[in-house]
Amino acid sequence: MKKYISWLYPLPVIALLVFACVEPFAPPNLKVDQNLLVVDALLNGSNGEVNVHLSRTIPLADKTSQRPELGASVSIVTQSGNTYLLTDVSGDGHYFKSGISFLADDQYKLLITTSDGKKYGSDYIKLSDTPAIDSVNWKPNKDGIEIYVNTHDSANKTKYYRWEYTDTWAYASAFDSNFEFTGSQPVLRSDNIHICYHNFNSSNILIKTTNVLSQDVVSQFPLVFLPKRSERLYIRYSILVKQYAITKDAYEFWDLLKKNTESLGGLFDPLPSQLTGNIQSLDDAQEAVLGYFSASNIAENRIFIEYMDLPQSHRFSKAYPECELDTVYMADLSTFKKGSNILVTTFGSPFPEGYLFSDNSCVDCRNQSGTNIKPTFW
Amino acid sequence: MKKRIITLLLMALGFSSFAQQSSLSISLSNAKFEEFVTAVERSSPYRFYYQPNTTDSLIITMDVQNKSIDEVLNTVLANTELHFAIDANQKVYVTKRRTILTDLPINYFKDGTSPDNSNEFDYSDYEKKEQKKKLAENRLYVIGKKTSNLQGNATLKGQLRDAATGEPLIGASVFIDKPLIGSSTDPLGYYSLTIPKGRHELKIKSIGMKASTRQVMLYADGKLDIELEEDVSPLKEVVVESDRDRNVSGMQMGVEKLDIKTMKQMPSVLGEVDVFKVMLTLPGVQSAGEGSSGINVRGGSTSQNLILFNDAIVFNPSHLFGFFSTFNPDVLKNVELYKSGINADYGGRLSSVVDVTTREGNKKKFVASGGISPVTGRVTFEGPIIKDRTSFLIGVRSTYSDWILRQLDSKQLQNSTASFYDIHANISHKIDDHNDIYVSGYKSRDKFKLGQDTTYSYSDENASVKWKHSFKSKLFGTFVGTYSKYNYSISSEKNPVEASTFDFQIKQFNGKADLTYILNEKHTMQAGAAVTHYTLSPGSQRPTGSESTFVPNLMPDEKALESALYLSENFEVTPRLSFYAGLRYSFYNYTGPKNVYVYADGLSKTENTIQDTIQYSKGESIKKYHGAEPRFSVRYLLPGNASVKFSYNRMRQYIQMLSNTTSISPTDIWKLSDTYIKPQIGDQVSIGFYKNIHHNSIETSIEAYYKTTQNALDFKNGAKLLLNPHIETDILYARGRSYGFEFLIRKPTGKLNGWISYTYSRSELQTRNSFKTETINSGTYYPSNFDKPHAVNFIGNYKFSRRFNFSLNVTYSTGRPVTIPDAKYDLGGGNRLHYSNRNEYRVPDYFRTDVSINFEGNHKIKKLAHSSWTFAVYNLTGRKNAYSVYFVSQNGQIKGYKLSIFGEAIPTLTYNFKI
Repeated sequence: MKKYISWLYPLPVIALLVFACVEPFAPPNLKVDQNLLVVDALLNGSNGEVNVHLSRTIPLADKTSQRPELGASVSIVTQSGNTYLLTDVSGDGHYFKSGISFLADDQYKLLITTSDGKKYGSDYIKLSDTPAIDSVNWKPNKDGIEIYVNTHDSANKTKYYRWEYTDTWAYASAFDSNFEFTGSQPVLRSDNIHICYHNFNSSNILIKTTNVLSQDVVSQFPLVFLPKRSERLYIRYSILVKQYAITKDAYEFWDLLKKNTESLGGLFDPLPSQLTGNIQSLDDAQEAVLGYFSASNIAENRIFIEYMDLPQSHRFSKAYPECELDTVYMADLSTFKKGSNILVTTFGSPFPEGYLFSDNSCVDCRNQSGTNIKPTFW
Repeated sequence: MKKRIITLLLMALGFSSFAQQSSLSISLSNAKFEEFVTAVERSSPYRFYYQPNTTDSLIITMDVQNKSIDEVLNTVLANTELHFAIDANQKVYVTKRRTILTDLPINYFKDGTSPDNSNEFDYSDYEKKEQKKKLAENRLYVIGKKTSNLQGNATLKGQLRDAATGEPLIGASVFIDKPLIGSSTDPLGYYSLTIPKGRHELKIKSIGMKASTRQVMLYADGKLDIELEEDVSPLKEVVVESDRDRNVSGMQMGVEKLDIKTMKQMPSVLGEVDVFKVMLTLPGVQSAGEGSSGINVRGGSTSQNLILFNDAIVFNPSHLFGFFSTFNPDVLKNVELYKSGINADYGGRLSSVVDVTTREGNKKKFVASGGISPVTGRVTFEGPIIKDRTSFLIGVRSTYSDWILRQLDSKQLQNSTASFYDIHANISHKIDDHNDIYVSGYKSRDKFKLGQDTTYSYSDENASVKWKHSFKSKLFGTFVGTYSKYNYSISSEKNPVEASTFDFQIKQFNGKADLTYILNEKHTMQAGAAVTHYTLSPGSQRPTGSESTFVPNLMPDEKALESALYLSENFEVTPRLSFYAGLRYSFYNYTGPKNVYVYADGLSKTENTIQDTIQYSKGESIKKYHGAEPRFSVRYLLPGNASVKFSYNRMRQYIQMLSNTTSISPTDIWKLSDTYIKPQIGDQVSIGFYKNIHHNSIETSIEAYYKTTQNALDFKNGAKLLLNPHIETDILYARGRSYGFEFLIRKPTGKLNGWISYTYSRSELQTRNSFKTETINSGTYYPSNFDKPHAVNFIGNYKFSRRFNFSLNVTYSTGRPVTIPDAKYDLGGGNRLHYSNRNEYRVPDYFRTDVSINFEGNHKIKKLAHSSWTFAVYNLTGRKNAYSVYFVSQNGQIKGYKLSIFGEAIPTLTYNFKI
């Protein structure tokens, strides 16, 4: 938490950093279920897709992390008179429709009817045009590396930006297994379980406005910081940055949401406030609806960071101090626990006398929640 | 030697009262006093003793036959300040102001040993002082010209001063027992007492000073200055009220007076004696939490306190944004806090008046004093410029925290800086008996930087000139001119392309004339006028550095003139019943140059509903407000040393602070009332019952109040306060109400002293807007940020010996209200929070215990330096009191945290010295 404090407004230094302390605090057991509708909707003008995720708020004390809103009727209505119905194919509250050709001079509106018959809708919004990303670059500093995005709009019209990213990195398990032992005898391994790939979608709100600058230029906006020993930098790292031009209203929405959840509690931080987006209940004006419906084209840019590109001082390898190799003789293979252990390679020279093996978690990289399927862009 | 001279002088005076009276015949025209003396001495045995410079303005024309010397002198000295006395040896002493006493007190020589046998005895300073005091007390002061007519009343005036430093004594009481008539000294140490003519024993009492008496024979209006000795007990008492029955018999209610001695004795955080922290132990005074600057008085916001430092406004009275007050304890004399029953001469803020007065420099000798605490070093110099007439005082305090930061083993902290200082200087000059002048200056400055990004700095400065004039014995005037300036700046240099500096500034000039007229012992009237000119620069943001592409954003200055007239009357109907009635009428004029937006009628004010812009030229009136502010209070004395008091007052405030944080923060700005932002109006009624028991040694009181506020400000969700040219679009009007009662038991004196108080108070707001979506909590009353219903304070002080005492401070209050999340949801890839209604929940209750021990050096009067040590432990139990609770989304999870500012016991040692 020390780090968190340092990102607050500068606090009275001595007293605070010497005497202040931050402790976990269990909120009062809030059993009240607000059960508000949450709408996360994006109309992507670049590929003609609409993604709408409907869910309900969850009481804080509740351990569930998802409460999708199922069985709703979701549609996009254009001012020009077309209606496109979205469908929840996977049954998890993600309503989707593709193959629509959106026009820059048309306007779009989201309409929702939930399974209990309540109606919700947004105002008509325009499709925002997003300028291209000029570059995504990174710079090492003494604690790690920082990744930045640069963009500009020479027409000085965009002014408000929002980014999301997906980063992907490769990592390796402690030992590279050459043998598979599923049948009666070990056989040479055909698949790769040593190198895996991990994906992560940004969860922070990344927004920037240039309306206080004389030119619509975003220069070196920091997107993500990777600390020196981060697993993401051990082999190869890639980041896909998605840039959205947003409206002033949307900017204010995300800014307030960011303030409400990412920077509160400091001495001079503003008080949190109730926040509603651009979607209203059409039946009851008092009912709060959370979330936002945006429509914009998307600009993308992907970069890679290779291990060898890192400065010497930032190169680390993943260490598995808890992983050890053990041996099993050919004669004892029948007692080998196939489920929890994996054979790595043979030992004995010139003829193999047995196998080296280790714990499943030290050999199969998929145990660390990644996938061993190489992404297409890799 | 001194003693011997006094003795000889007394011997020379001899005994009188049987002096032979021979008759005189004198004829003079436009003669000087010397010629008159020569004429008398030639024709009679009288011999004159006088100081020529006191009589040189006298021109005498007379033609008398066979008159007594008394008659002749009465004629000659009529309408002058001169008095005469004649002793048994027919010596005539002509003196200015005071009559030489030719009689010794009865039994003077029977009292102990004969003074002239004591030449060999080496009196200690203490005994000499005692002797001098006794002399003053036993002497009969004849006031006014002798006359046989002792009908009616006369007014006795004068100044009370500390015999050691010459400083005026404030709030001291001067009274006679039969009939019981008393008054207390004003902020310049002057008293005025209208009592029946004749012989009286005048009693004088003041905190920290020895009680004294004066024998007076009052013939006519006159003047008597009195010097009091400091009570030698160097271990200061916890005394809050000036005199013992003031809480019962005084007119004021809801007033608290703290002297610096009380404050210095209480446990302090990090060794810094802090006016505001001490005030927080009083009933009805609260704050949002530790480390928040400002106080909330009876449910008012921090910006509703009129904080005066030697009559000049202070906008931000705290260092490091609230950890210490900017008032250096070494230069302070006392602090008065008015919570209700505010007199008509104060105005401009709704909740309270905090009147901070500094000491005058020592008028007798040079003194240096100072101290070192873990955070600051401070030093004060003072002394006479012209002995007994003019003195100076200068006090400086500065932190050495930068040095501490560099010692800390943290890169983050090593790159940080935090520095502050405050400086105060004043000169007081007594021009003559009727005129005193005071000049005071003050500046405080803070600057800090955390890490490498952003530098914050702010400063508050003010100056004041005050002239006190007594026109005649019953009419006093005080004329004050002040200047105050507050500014802050925030500069960010992290990204050279966007580097910029934000500046805010407010300046005000204020003039005030105040007249007090004491008609008689039953009527005192006060009238005055005040005018304040504001210049406010609401903000400018400019690029810094050559690479910066930042577009300068300059908000135009705002100007306004606030003026007020007031008149009040204090009327003692009967000895039991007295009342105060005052009326203040304030005028406010907001002037150009400025552009004012006009919004569409009937629609919510937003950027989109702006219809027109009206341009106002320089000095043109944009909006005027004015209104009456009645003030009223009544006191009725009950049998058995008890009283009931009632007061009502209305206040108007034309300048508001815009803040959407919990405490005074680096980005708060002030805003003048304008076309859309109306002045705040506050009304308060309060009623109290006061009773002293055990010969005034224990005071008890209970006060209840109900207060309403109109046009309080709140903000729409996500309001932008800085650099907003149409701030009215982000503002919500609220009305406030607060009510409660305060219960206090205090033992002001004795080996064990202190107080215990319990306060029940509520403070609530309700937003009023015709657009329901813009209200907070659907337009219902909700608790304000500093609504803490229950508060208990205990302050105890025990003197083990003259050099060693122990203080204990225990504080409890309900936790302050907070808005916390009540649901979670996913949006934009992360977990988000939905917040409860405004201030629906509370942080855990607050509880803190502090102790301190004071050691004084030995009490030898003659030594190079007097020193003392204070050892204190703040938050002895180490309780982690929540300043705030907050929730953050970290790596997709929502976590709750509680921030404590002083989360452990903090011991400090402070050294103080005085040379």
